[in-house]
Amino acid sequence: MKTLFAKGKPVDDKSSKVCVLFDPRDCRVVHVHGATTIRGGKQFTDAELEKDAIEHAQGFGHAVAGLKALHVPISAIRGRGAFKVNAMGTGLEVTQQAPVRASELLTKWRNENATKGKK
Amino acid sequence: MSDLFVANSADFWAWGGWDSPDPVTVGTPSFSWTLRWEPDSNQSTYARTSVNTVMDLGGGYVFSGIVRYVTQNADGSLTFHNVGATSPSGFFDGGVIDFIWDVAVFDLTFGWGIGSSGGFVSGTFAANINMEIWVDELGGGD
Repeated sequence: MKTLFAKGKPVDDKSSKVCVLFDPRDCRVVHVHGATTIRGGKQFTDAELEKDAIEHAQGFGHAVAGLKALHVPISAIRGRGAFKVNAMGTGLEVTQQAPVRASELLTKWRNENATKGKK
Repeated sequence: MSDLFVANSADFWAWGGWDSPDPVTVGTPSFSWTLRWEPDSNQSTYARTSVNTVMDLGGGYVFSGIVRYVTQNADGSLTFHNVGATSPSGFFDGGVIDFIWDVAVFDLTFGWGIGSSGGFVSGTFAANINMEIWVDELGGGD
C-alpha cells in the first residue's frame, strides 16, 4: 500500500490502522484489512477494525473459524513481497521478496525459458 | 464540479500456486481498505478502482472494486450498502462492484485480490491498482 492522498495532500500514516487475519496453524495470511480516517471522520477502534476484517474476509469467501487477528502499523505491509505472520504471532515477515523492477524478473524469466528450450 | 477527494494505489505480486498475498478463492488472501470522513448530506460521492499495469508470466488473475459503503440518513441513522455481496460485478463473485455513486457517503471500503497459478519467476503475476474517491457538492453547479 502506497501513501494515500486526500485533497492532494499525503495522509499521515498515523491515520491508518491495519488488521491481519491469519491461520495460527501455519501463520499464513488470509485477509488484510486496513482503515484510514480523514477529514473529521470518526476514529476506528481495534475492535471495529477486527469485526470489519472478519466480515470482509467472509465476504470474499474465506472460512474465518480459528483465524487470529494481528494489529500492525501500515508500515508493516509496505514491504514488497509475500508475507506471513512470524512464529510468535507478533508481526509480519516477508517470505519472498518481490523484485524492485519488472525488468529483473523478466530477465530471469527469459533465462529460465531459454534453459528449458535447450533441454 | 467534481473534486478528486482520495487517491491511492498499490503494487501487488502473486506467485506460488495461489498461496502468496493474493486472494479471493478460498484459501488465498484478500485485501480490503476502508476510508472514513465526516458525513455530509450535501455531498455526492463517486468511487472506483482501476488496474494500471499487469504483468503475467504464467497465469493468474486480478480484480478490484468496492466492497461496501455507508451513508448517513437525515435522521442520523446509518445505511450499510453491502454492494460487493448484493451486486458483485465481473467474472468474480468475490465481493466487489465496479463503482459506486451515491449521496451522503462517509465510509467506503475498497477490496482487491491477485493470484498466480505458478511459482516465483515463471508464474509471477503482478498488477498495480488505483483507488479513487470523487466528491461533488450538490446544488453547487459547474
